[in-house]
Amino acid sequence: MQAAFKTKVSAVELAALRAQLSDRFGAAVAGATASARAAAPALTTGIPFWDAAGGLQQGQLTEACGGAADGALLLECILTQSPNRISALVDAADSLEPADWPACCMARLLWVRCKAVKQALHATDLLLRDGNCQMLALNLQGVPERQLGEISGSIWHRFHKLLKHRPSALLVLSPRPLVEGARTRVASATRWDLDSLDTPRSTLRENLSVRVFKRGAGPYVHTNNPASF
Amino acid sequence: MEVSEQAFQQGICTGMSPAQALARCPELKILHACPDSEQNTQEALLQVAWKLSPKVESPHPGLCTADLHGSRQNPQKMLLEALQTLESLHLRARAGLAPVPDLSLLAAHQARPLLCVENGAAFAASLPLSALTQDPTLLGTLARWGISTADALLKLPRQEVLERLGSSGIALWEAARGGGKRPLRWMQEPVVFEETLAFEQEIEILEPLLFVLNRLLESLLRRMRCTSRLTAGLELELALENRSSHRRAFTVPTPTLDPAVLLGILETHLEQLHLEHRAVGVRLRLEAADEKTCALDLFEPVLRNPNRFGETLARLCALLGEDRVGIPLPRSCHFADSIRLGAASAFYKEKPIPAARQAQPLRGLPLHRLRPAPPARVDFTHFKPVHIASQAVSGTILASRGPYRLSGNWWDSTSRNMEEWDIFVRLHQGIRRGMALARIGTQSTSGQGDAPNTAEWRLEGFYTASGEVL
Repeated sequence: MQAAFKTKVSAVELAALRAQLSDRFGAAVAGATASARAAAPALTTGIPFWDAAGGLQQGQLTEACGGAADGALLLECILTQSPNRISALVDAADSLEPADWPACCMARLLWVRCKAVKQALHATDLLLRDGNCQMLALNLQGVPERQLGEISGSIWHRFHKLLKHRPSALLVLSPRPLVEGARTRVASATRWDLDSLDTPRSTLRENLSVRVFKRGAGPYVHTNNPASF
Repeated sequence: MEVSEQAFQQGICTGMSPAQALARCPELKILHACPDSEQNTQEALLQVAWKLSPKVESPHPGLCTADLHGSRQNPQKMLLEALQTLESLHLRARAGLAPVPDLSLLAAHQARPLLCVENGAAFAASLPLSALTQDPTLLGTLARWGISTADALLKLPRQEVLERLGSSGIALWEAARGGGKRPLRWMQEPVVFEETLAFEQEIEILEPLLFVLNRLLESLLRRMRCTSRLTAGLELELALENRSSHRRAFTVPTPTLDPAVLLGILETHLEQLHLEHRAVGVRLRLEAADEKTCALDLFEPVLRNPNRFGETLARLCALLGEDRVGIPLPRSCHFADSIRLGAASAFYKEKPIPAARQAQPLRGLPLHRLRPAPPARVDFTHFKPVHIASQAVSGTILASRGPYRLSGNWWDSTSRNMEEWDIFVRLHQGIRRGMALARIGTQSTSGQGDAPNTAEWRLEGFYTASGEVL
């Protein structure tokens, strides 16, 4: 059947057809005809700066550095974007308080409660190999500094390799930059006080101060999005 | 009980004692009965027969009759496939195809390995009387009359056979005529597939046990394929040398016939199993389920590979503990750190657990709880906390909110009174400086709370901590 549709098309006709499609469908065709490598699918985060910079990329490791509250709010934004998405949280310090999180996030969240960083890394490895969770978060907030210092760089390299051919996104929440070779690093350092404990959660999410850094061939580069500190 | 043809030629017959048999043939091999194997063989035979027809009768172990009337397929081809299936299970079988049940049994005895009878009367008439009956008295009487074939017996009038030989004689006469139609006593097809094996030697390491389980799985799955069913659950029972047993049931996330998936489930469990006694036998049971057809829901998230997810969950539980992996559920009371964890298997159920309704919009920062909550020494001035000293957070409390008091379960021995404060701390811990938002709490079981300065305080968790190491 395919043979019946084979026909010779001149280069001029092909160019005219492409121009016609480009005029009509614009960016969709531009993406299809771009010579650059196709962008990996991304999960929306609900944070405008981050989504404009590409969102949470699947098949890649993203690190979010900053305070514990910032990391928790970032994760909450991502989970509430698509509450039906199957996600997993590897809690290295077993610090999650489910009552403080939206109920819609918890219904599709696999909570893995670890007692040490080594257990958390092993659990992350198992879940990455499984590939069923679309979003996997490794929370290293609250882990003693001594244990953080014992994490070998080869771990992150192995995670990069596992993610390469899997449709999962790995988000590492850390108190300081830890992940070697993370394609995207999100830094946040919002100042909180006691009044924040009475502020509606939606307002707190809006007040997050976030900067997104992308890594190309060289060091991390801040993306061209307005940021406030 | 039974002798082979070669043994029969040596003069050995059923009913002899082993000593008598060995005296006649010193090279005789005596095979002992193995009830487990015989049970497995009978179940395999029945499952193959049920694949041919739902109407199956089995009056004796090793023998079954299936009614193929109404079948659209070629009966000979069906029987040949059944024989091949039994051959793949290492069982040699014979099959007979005839218009009536009793004739088909006679045909099976004569088959090598399949015999199809179209003219029942002619076939029965050609048989010797010893093939139609084992009654020695009846055969002896007929032999004295000079009758040794079915054809000769049929020449006698029916009424006179009844008068002279009785009911056994008339039954033989009917059998010689080709037998009559009779309804089969159907057997109910079970939905459980089970095999048992007793080990010759005790097993204490994993590899030989997995080898045995793999063999049992393959045999059971071959039987299950005959019924067009899938495995929805597994039950493993290990018989131990101290006469106790270890039993465990498993659910297969998505019913399957893949032996690798099922063996993976068993291997994950056995890898972390430690028993004090060695295993002397195993029983493996598969729960069968019909293949379900369902429409894919484009908008409902589904697991890409539920069976692999189930295995990952099992490995996580083996690594961390059964109570450390699951879905966070709304807590059933208002006490701090009252956690409920739902089974993660809800992810691959047909109807997942719906999200709980949010009682009211959330306020404030989420707490990072410390488990276990470390003790803290809190100094109060004018009933307000002013200083905290603990392993995690130490410093001057610049501002605080509280107390938040909670009590409950006053009707029983688990009654509690709790008091919590949210504090804003300027950290000065060694060379560390910074600020922290944290929560402290105290709990008493007495009717009234303790005085703040004398209560045992704990650092429940922190909201955020910022600072730098100088």
